[in-house]
Amino acid sequence: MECLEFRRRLAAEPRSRDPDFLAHRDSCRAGCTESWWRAQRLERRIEGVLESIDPPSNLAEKILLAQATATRAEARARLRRRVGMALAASLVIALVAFGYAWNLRETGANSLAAMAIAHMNSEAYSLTMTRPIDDQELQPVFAKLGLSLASAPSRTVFAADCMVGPYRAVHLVLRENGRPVTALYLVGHRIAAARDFVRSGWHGREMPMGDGTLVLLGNGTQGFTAAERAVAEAVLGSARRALTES
Amino acid sequence: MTPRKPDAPAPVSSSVTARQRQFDVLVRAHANDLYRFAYWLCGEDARAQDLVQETLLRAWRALDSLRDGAAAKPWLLTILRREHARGYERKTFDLTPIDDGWHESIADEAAGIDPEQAGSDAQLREMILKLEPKYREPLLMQVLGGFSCEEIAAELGVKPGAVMTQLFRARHKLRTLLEGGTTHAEARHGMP
Repeated sequence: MECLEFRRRLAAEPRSRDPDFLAHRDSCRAGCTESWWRAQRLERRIEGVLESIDPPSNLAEKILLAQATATRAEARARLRRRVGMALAASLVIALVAFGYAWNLRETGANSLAAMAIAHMNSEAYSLTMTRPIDDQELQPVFAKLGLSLASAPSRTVFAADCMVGPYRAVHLVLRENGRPVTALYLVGHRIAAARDFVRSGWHGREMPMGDGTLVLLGNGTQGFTAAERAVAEAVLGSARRALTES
Repeated sequence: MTPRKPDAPAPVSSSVTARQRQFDVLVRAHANDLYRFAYWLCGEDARAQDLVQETLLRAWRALDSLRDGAAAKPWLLTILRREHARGYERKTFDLTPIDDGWHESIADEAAGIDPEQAGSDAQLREMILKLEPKYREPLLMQVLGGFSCEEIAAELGVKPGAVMTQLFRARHKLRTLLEGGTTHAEARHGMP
């Protein structure tokens, strides 16, 4: 290493431990050794001044406290985000489940509407009946299901005891203004609330009645009110009369 | 199983504890050095404390990326420098070669007054703070951070030769200011 290179290196890296650098320092007779010592003294002063700055007391503790606070805040924010997401997810799941249940109730194969229509598909011939039947023919049908016929519905053209899905039912067809209205009275199965429905081309209405449920089917809702009144009179009339007499 | 006392702190998972312990060690080992480095970078106590806190909070978030404990200090200093750079618009380094000035400057060094006798520490401190950032930062990285010229060059994105120039100039300025004079090189290059 030459003196110029040594001095150059000395000015930039006075603490260099490069062997060539140190060898030149120890062997040069042209003043490089003295320069090296002078550079070391300046370097010591620079180091001393740079390191003389006193950090604030408890700096580490302050930083650890800030970190703990920030960590807690981040954890709280993360928790809030997670709770929010969980709530949102629960809401979505609940909505989907509700929608699915609603859809199943409305369209499911096990709904009363579906079972009533399925039953009608196998007994479509009943809609073609036009001859009114009398009390003598109706009485046994009701009796078979444990019902007493209070008042025979007028304009009844068909009566039979049937199974609608798992439910035992009185199956009546009434002619209202010449149009057939099917009334299925399901014994022992009472729904909570009445509703109208349209399904597979049928208009329908289901409603709780006594201890059972009445399902009306037709190609429109005309005649439903009269049919409902007639069936109610037949099924509930005796009880109503009994209450009136007492 | 020993029942926990009612006033005992809730148990913390072992992974969190280990990470926290590592961070505690890091803070206690390097906070003061980081503060000095930050102070000399910005020259303000409050700003330096903020820089150290920001640096260590960033380090906490990125602690998993620190694989080698021995590399912690340069890693932290790098974060601190970047944090500082975010706060201040950085000037482009003046990388003008100073080949023509070397000889005169080196001659000045050789003939200079003994640095132990020139100026007071208070003067030297003031002079360091007055150094332009482009001279001061490589000097701090070398003296306080223990970076080599090659490492400083890599950090600053310049060539090692340019870093040597900056370091030479930084020391030369300090020496000159301590001696209260103007060098041939400064006269030639119009250095402040």
